[in-house]
Formats: sequence, structure tokens, C-alpha cells
Amino acid sequence: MKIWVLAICSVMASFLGVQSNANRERDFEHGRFSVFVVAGLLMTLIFLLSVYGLVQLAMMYVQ
Amino acid sequence: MTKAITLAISLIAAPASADWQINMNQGVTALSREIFDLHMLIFWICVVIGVAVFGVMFYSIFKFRKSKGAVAEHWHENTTVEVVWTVIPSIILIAMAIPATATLMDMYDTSEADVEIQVTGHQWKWRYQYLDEDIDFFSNLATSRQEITNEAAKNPNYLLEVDNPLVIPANKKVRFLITANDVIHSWWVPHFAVKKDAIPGFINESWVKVEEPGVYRGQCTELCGKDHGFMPIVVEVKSEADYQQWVSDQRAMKLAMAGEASKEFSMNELVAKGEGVYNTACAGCHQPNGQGIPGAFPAITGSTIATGAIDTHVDIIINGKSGTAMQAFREQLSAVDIAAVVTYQRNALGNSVGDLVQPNTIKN
Ligand code: HEC
Ligand SMILES: [Cu+2]
Repeated sequence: MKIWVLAICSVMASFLGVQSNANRERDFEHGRFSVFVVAGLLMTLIFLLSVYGLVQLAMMYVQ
Repeated sequence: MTKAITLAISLIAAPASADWQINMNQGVTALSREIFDLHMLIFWICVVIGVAVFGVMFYSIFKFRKSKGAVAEHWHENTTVEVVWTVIPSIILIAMAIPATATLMDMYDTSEADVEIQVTGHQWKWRYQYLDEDIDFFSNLATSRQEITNEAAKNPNYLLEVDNPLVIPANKKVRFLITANDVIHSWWVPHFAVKKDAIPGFINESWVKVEEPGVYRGQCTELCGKDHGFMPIVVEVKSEADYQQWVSDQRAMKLAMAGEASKEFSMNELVAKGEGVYNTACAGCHQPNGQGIPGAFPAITGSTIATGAIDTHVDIIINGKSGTAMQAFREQLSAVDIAAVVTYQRNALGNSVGDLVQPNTIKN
């Protein structure tokens, strides 16, 4: 479980573009590649859905 | 010395006091003012950010200069600072996106229009078709050749004047369906804050609602060939009553033109009329003297077509010649215009074939 939470935190940090060196080293020592791939895809999906949702929300305001 | 300073100051001050504007136009529609306000809002946000960022930067450079014994710190990262300078700009960008989205939505809301006009870009003129009114005309540059070639003084609307302006009613929502016939053009009237690409095969939409009657001028803003700078846009905004009058005048004119087409014309009438048609519709390529431009546009003077069989001559004007710049004038010119320009080309510009063609034999 913890490995997933940490991976998602790191993916979020990568979306922001800021990560500490300590976390980077932790990820490279204890992280699993497949977990990062799945977490990355998941977060991308959530990002796309929230952009879609925001557009829908904006459209609601004009109609 | 003082003289030089006074001169320098007056040079700087003169444009500021004169009617000299470098900022964006406020325009004449509610939407154009909304766009202007948005632009100013974003502009001032950028100014504040710029002053803050450069202020801190210049202050730091000055305060901690080497000559004062400043020594650079060596450190690798500071996550807190990095997060702060990433999150703050993101918040500013998102905050700016909110009013920008509201304005964009207004710009794209072409629904519930009172008047609909199709605007088609041609090399090098605009065509306006009123979708509900059976009004359809071309708008050509009206600036005289003499002004363009510096043989006459240039008037204030130099290259911003047309023979048939687009006419729209004030205080009505007018929707434009913008497309092109040959290459990409762009329809731009700065006072309306409307600039839309006119692309062959696509229809872009845009709209205006102008409050005050007046004349507004614009240009094609997509490089579209030799006469790109010679296809201006003029929009006449009329009061509702004047607009209705104009619409009925157009109808009457159309009827009159249909009547003309069955009339018999004399050689002189056709040549005189043809000269006008030639100068607005053909001289841009074939040149006012009929000599053409070698390698690009053939001469009419001595042309085998313009001095040969009259049917072939009429045909190339009605149908054009596909794959060349010689376009079909079927829709641009009336039967009378075509008969006149054919007769003119055969009996002027150095040609003297001696025959003529009557409008009623032109089937376009
Ligand atoms: C955009 C440029 C352009 C305009 C405007 C234009 N033409 Fe042409 N025209 C051409 C070109 C190019 C050709 C040569 C076509 C070809 O390759 O045979 C041509 C050919 C002709 C010819 C045949 C000449 C010959 O000897 O081959 C005639 C006649 C003619 N045009 C009449 C007109 C008339 C009348 C008008 C105005 C109503 C007009 N043109 C406007 C570009 C133009
Ligand atoms: Cu153009």
C-alpha cells in the first residue's frame, strides 16, 4: 500500500515539476517501475477528466 | 545644447500629445470593449509581475555585488521555494483564465443572430452574400491606379476604400460565416475586434453588434498573393431604417440590372462601360494598359484570344481557365459587365477587332 501512496505523491510532484533529491533517491532505491507506470497513467487520466469537468462547468455558466 | 535638449524633448513629447496611439483599439462594440478590458487587466498583471521580479533581481544584483564583498552561497535545492515559485504563477495563470474564458465564450456565441452574411475571400476581393436577403455582391478596391503609382496625391483612406461596402444594421447581431474561394485570407476589422481566417473548404464564424452607425475599415490579414494589400474591407453600419432602405434599393437595383441585360447596347456604350469593369476587375493582373506582366499574366493587347473568335473570348471570362490565376467571372460580373469588358478588350487597349457582344447572348 505504502509503495502506491509514495508513487502517486512522486507523480504529483512530477506534474508540478518540483521534487526533492531525498525523495528521488528513495524512489530509485525502493520504488518499482510498473507501479510508477500505472500511477502515472492513473494520474494522467484524473488530470484529463478534471480538465474535461472544468470545461463542462464553464459551459454550464453560459447556457 | 539647450536647443538640442528642447528638440529632443519635443520629439518625445510630440507623438504623445498628438493623435498617436500604440495601444490596442477599444473598438465600437460591447464585445470589443470587453476584449480591450481583458487585455488591459492582463497587461497590468504582467506589469506588476515584471516590476516585482525585475525589482528583486536588480536589487539583489546591486545589494550583493562582488565589490561589496558578497560571496555566493552553494546549495543544491530548496523544495519550499521551488514549490512557492511554481504554485504562485500557476494560481495567477488560472485566475487570468477565468475572465479570459468568459470573454472567449462571448466571442464564440454566434447564436440568435438577426442578420447572417457569408464572407468569402477571393484573390483579391471580398464577396458578401446576405443569406436571408438574396443580396450578393463583390467588394473591390476603389483606390485609383494614379494614387497607387504616385501619379496623384494619396487620399486619407488610401487602400482602405471599396466600390461596394458591406452594409449592416446598427444594434443588431450580425453573424459572419467566413470562408475563401482560392487561398487562405483573413477578414479583419480592428474596430470590431474581429479577425477570422478565411479558409477554403472551412467556414469560420464570428459576430458583431455595432451600436453606432458609421464607417469602419479593415484589411485582409493573411498574406494571400500579389494584391494582398489591395483587398480592403469597408463596413457601413446604418440605422435600422437606413438599412431597410438600402436592402430595398439593392432589390430594385437587381431588377433594373435584369432589365438591362435584355437591352441592346451600342459599341460606344459597351466600350465605355467595359473600361470601368476592366479597371476594377482585370487591370490588377492584365495591367491598365493591357500589356500584362510577362511570365505571369498575358497581355490583352494583341492576344490571340482577345482578337480571335468572340465565343472563346467570352468563354474564358465566364469560366476562367482552371489551374491558372484566370478565374471564372461568372458569379462576379453581370451579363452586361461581361459583354462590356469583352467588347472593351476587343476594341481598346490597342486592339481593334470591330465586333461586339450583346448581354442577352451571354449565358452565365
Ligand atoms: C488574378 C489575375 C487575373 C485577373 C484578375 C484576370 N485575369 Fe485574365 N488571365 C489571367 C491569367 C494568368 C491568364 C492566362 C491563363 C492561361 O494560362 O492561359 C489570363 C488570360 C486571359 C485571357 C486570354 C489571354 C490569352 O491570350 O491567353 C483573357 C481574354 C482574359 N484573361 C481576360 C480577362 C478579363 C476580361 C478579366 C477581368 C474581368 C481578367 N482576365 C482578369 C489572370 C487574370
Ligand atoms: Cu487576402
